[in-house]
Amino acid sequence: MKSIEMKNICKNYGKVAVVKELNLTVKSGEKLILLGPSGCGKSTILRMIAGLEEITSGELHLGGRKVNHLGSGERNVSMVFQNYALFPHMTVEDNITYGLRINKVCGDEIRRRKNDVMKMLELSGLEKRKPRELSGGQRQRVALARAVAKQSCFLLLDEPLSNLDVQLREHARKELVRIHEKFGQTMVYVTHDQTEAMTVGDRIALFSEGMVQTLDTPLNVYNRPANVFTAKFIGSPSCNIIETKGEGGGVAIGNQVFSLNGSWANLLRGKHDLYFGIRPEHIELSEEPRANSIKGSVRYCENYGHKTSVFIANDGIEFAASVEETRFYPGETVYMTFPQDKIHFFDKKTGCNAGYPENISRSCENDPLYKRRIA
Amino acid sequence: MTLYISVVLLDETWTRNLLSLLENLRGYERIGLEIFPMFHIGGYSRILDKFLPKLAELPITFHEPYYETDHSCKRGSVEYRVTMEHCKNAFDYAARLRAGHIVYHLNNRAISNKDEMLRIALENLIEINDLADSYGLKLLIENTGVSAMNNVLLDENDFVDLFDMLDHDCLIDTGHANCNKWNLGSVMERLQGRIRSYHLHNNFGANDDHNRIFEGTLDLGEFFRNYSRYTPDADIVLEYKCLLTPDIMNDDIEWIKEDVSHVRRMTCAVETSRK
Repeated sequence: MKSIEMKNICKNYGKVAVVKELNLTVKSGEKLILLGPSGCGKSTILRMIAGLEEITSGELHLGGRKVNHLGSGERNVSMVFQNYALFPHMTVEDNITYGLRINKVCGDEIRRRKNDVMKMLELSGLEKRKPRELSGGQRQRVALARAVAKQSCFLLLDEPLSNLDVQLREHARKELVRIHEKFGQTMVYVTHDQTEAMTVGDRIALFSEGMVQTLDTPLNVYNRPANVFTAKFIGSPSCNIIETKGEGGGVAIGNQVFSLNGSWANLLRGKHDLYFGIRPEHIELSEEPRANSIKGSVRYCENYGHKTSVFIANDGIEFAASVEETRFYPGETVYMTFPQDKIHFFDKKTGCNAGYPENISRSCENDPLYKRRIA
Repeated sequence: MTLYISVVLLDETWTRNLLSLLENLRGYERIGLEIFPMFHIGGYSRILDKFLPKLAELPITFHEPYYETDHSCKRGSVEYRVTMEHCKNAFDYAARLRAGHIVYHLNNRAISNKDEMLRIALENLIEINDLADSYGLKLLIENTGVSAMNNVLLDENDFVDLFDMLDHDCLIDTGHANCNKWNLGSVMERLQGRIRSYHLHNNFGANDDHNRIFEGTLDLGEFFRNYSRYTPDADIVLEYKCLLTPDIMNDDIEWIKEDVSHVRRMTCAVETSRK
């Protein structure tokens, strides 16, 4: 059993509450991503698990054992830091093996583990180099190799890829997943990068101001955002969130009305003050009006090569739409169609998701990929 | 949190004086001694042996031997052998007095080849760590050295980074941090979960004077604000110059009492604010 349980955990600095009443369980062998903007408390949580920061109140259990009182070295965790934390005067192999030697692992076993991780992380041939003689990607792999060689039950990663360039980051993400598949450690991974969160994690815990906003699979977080914060944080350009009011069988989008189908109308009956949400890539654009389309004017476009973001003004509201074509230009009139199975509504007062009609199920609880990942 | 005063126990009279100082401080619960051992002085073990039962009644921590000791000496050298002998002695008494941890210096001597010294010190740490383990003791690595003495092996960032690489905990010496111009608040924030104890003393920012807590440029108010914020459970050891020499005066005892009272008030406020 290698689960991590956080029960009512609080972290205060004086009167400032950094983490508030956190209740979170990381399943044995799971990869949990702690995602959120800077200052949301995600690194503090990781450091509390590692024993690098004291827990103000609440209980932390690692593998079923309460560890609040245990020092970092007694928790069977290994950690990879953003700055890699390598001994600058030691060679690659010494950096990887030093922790094993000080923990009295026998010589043969040290050699075996070292050779395994160096091969797996493609570090063979770099044994005698010092960190200053390595590229950023190689240093990152050495830090990872050291953590993996420790063979701890719990692998904690604090923004481990943030110092790498885009290509290396993509490669390193795949390596991380591969390493996890081989060793099956319980992994907690802190990042502010939603791509890493979506591609590496079995589940994502999205934080804001020391509280969990969402805890779900990546696909559910994306497709069924629990609240406005989640909808806006995940996705680029971020999800369009428009203040609206229920209008009979539809909702107001500026001065126009977007008609809802019967299922949505039933679900939202009696709910007046809402936010309407739709992701940019789910908006369909056309030059000519279509049934139930909303008229707007193109303000500007951003071309990314593989897609174009089109920013559209409508009665003082701005929409972002992502399309593959580049046939829309500033000043043009366009019509936006919102597929009924791609829209979201949130309660204006609480920001919480208002739910989905039963016939629009996008839940990923039965997602075979997720099931396979944590099996 | 336990409050300690750091002492050498040089002879019988001196030791008796110190123990009566503690009697004088009765009323302040859980004041202990951090023993600064002097095994290089002949007959030192006899003093410890004689007072062992009395010392065993107190909270005790142990500093590793300082004189004739340096962990950045090459293995196999005479210096290394002497260092290990002194350490074995200290560990033996520390274990008998259930000290729990040993304050540890990576180096004491002046820096010659920094990288090489650090390499040797970390290599030696493996053996000394094994030895400490065998006595049931944990090493607390202290921020040692003073710029003016050219014996600072790890600067502020290197020292903090060290604990990303090691599983050990540390002791922060406020006087060393102050005279090396470290940002003590930042160090306390970054190492908070690893800081088990402090050597608390003051100076004027250049020499390691081991002055009273208010005699110097270390801002004690700021220290206790950071202590409360980051390390409210850490122990505090008053490590004063006068307590490390045998010529302690009655006046000294009076102001030590004042300082103990002050630290007590500050740490009690921390404990109250946490409830």
